[in-house]
Amino acid sequence: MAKIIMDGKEYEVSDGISVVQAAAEVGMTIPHYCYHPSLRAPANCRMCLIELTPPGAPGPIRQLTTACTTRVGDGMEISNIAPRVKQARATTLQFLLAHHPLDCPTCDEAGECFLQDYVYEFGHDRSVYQEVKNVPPRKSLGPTVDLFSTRCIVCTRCVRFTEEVSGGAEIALTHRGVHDEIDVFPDKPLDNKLSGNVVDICPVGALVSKDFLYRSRPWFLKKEPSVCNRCSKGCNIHVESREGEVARLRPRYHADVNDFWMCDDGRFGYEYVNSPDRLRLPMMRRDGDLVPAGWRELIEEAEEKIQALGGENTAVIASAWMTNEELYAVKRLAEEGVGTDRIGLFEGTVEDEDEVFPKFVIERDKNPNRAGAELIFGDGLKTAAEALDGAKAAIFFGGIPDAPLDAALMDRLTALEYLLTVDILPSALTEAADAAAPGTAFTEKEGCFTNSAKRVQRLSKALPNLGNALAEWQIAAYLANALGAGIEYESAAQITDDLASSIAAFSGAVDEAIDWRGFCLDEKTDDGEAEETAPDNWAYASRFWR
Amino acid sequence: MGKPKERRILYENIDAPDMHTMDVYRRHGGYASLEKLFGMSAEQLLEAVRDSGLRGRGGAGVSAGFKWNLMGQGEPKYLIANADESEPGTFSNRYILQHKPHMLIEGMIIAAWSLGVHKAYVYVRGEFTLGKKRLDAAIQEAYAAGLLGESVAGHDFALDIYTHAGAGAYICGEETGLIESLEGKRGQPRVKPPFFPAAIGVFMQPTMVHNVETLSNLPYIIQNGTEWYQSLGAVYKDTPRGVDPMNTGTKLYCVSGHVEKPGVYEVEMGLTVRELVELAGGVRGGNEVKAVIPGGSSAPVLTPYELDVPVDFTCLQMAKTMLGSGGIIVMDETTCTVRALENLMDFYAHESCGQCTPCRVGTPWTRDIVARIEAGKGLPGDVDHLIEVANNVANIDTFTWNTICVFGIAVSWPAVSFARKFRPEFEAHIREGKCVILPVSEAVAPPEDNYAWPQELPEVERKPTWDD
Repeated sequence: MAKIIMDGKEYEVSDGISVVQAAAEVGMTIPHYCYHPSLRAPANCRMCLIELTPPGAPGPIRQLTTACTTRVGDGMEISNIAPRVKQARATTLQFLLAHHPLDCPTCDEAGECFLQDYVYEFGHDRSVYQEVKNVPPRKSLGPTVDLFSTRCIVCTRCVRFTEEVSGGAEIALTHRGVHDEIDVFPDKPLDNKLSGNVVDICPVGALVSKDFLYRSRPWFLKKEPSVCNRCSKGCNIHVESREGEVARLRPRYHADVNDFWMCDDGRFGYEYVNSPDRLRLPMMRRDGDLVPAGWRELIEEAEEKIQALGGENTAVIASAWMTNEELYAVKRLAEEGVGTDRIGLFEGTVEDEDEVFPKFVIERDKNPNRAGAELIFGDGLKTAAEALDGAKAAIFFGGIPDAPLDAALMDRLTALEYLLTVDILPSALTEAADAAAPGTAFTEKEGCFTNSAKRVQRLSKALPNLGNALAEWQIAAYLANALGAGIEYESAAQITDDLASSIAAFSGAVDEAIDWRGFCLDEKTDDGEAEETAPDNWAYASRFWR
Repeated sequence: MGKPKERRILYENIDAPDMHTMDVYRRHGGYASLEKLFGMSAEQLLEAVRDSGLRGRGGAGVSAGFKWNLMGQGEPKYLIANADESEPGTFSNRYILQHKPHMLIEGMIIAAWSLGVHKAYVYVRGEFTLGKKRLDAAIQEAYAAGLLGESVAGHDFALDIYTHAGAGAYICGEETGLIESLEGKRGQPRVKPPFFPAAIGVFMQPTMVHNVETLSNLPYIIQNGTEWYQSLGAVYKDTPRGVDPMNTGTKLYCVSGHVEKPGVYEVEMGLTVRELVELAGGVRGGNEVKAVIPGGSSAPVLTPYELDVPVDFTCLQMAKTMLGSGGIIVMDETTCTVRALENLMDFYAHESCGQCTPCRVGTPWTRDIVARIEAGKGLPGDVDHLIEVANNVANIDTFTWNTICVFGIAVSWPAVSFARKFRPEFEAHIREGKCVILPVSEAVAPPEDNYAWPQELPEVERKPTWDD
């Protein structure tokens, strides 16, 4: 720890961090645009200027210093409030606004714009610029991102992102001086799987997501922390929704999982949640057609059919897209309700290789909770096809949009005498079903995913259930109890605790222990002192990452 | 005390036919310093350069010995000769490249030997096609003569020199901008700290960047000795803290503008602006001097009241301007100072690299204000507005800048000094709504209220007498 004096008060901060990060640690804001802790610092925005007194110096140095390139040192003194610091920041903002179109009323960023916020906090209240403004064109940088060049403050965060994190260096600075423009090379658009991140790191409204453009003012969005479901990496995200629809997904900082980033597969892969075709009502087959029914009818029929065909002949298929809690409820349904060892796991795609970028990896396994399923079911877990082999009835939990339903699996499913599916969208699977129950998408779930590094991470219920849909754990418990089991769960949290006490791999992972940084199942076996880790950016992220 | 006259050392025999070839250069005593060089240790050399008082000729006037002391320890180290001479009003390095390139090579061998450098670069301004051609040819000759390569002049010391042509950006004359450009990137200066070239320079290795003129002084220092070099030029005493009193050696003054005989004049430092103008044949047609820019277009302008300031590093610094690159631009009574400033600001607005906010926006902004005044569309208060905007980029009064590099100063200083010192002419433009050239006596603001006056000049310890 280093002792520094900031604005006359003494603080202890982590060693080796920048002054911007140190200020964030002690709860102060040093305004900045170009600096980002995961990128190289070019110190070009000149917004974070501070008055610095190096350790042991008799007084502050003559020049103002950039806080982003200054590392804290014991005894260092920093002033954010010296008149010349305030003046420098105000004039920098004056320069930034000189060519700015001031089109906040039509700008996507308005409300979460650092230019707005800092001008309000540190800037002048009127413009003295009387000359002609530059009006560079709006342009498309690629399939996902548009650039409003007029709003650009040339902080070059996006340039550095494509150079250092995604590695393609698609974005570059063209022209010179006041004509500086962010652009891509002809016929080389910004088309990589991390492209959406440049919108997040843009501190102003210059880079916008084509997907989100003009969809909502940010202040109408309800924001819930969650976990991405598009691969086994488990990127931390925020689900931002408006009036029951997902408006956008954005990455949430996690030092050990995804840093500040997420991939476009996850970011833009939420459309199915908003689909108008989503299943809303329990359906049962009557005269060849699936017709809406009540939950009680559906469960009673399922109980009768399973009793008649024999529990041991009934397969229970869980999905690798279900939460730990749902999987555990399904396990209890299979063991205590149905009484079968035909337990299979239905999976989404698994690709041959991870997609590796210089500072990010998209994992090959496109199932968010395979690790959880394997830990919960243990060695008895079969593939869906194996479990269905020779079965007469099945309870099939799906929930994977565009799931690969191969011919072999479909043959086995259509050969069944009774098939109950729990799914979110109509598919070949629900078409083959005798009863189709509506489940929940990941934005509607409560519970946790276990990622490939065995970190249990929490999802929160960002949206209400659709129609009469029930959570998968509720359906499993309902049916199990109809079959004679005694499962009494009132909330997903209860299952979390039950899971922690029943399955050794999850011991300790009780509801209270899983915070927003997750709970690492592997770490708890380590005894001895925690390893020294590099300074992370939690403090920075909580202050500056929106 | 005689009248100042030329003392050609670097420019000696520069107009000899075929001076750019090795034979002619050698015939005139070239490469003689190498004999002595390899008898000296690196420490002795460092001491010699430090004691000579040689100051960098590129602009900032940092003592070369001081700079060599800061050189980092990492290997490999690099030496770069900055031949990106692009300051308006400066043209002395161009003649060295065109007519005496071997002098530069000789200087680079000396610096490389002292600093333990085995790879050196010459970053040549893109427009210097003849200079680059002759320098390349000279380097080839030096390789053929065994003065470069595996074993320099038969000694156990390897040195390779490469030339690199710039693409014509002013900012690539700034040492870290030059380094970025040399690495193949956009020529944008680096942040200092941490990127001081002596510690982290080209390819992230310790690098010494010197101006061509600075390096060209080295052969003569080695050959004639430190004491000889010390005896040239002016030395002052009792200078304030932070003002180096040494101005040893000669300086290549590039005199241009409204003088009878513009050109490069090599004179021992210590002569005044007035004497230098006279040396260049006086103002054209016997006109009155209106303004003199003493050190390339980035230096604050001098008025007729300030012509008795010696044109050297120390005195110009104390007169709140700078010797910079030694480009002296003389303007006579026919000059409109607003138009002159507009011309300068247009240059800077075009050349700002656009990396950091104050310079990127502030530079064209000042240009636009001046252009508006010149076009007769100025508004009351525009002169103060101009000074404020320029001071927000870099403040001439507190000697601070909010930019990454000193380009901010190069923009702000001339803008503020022109607007303050020629305020009556600026105000006349605004008042009359058109371009008005006032007589010199009216155009210049009374010095008492506007700038450092009376000129506090340091006491002279030693100064050239120019007696025969």
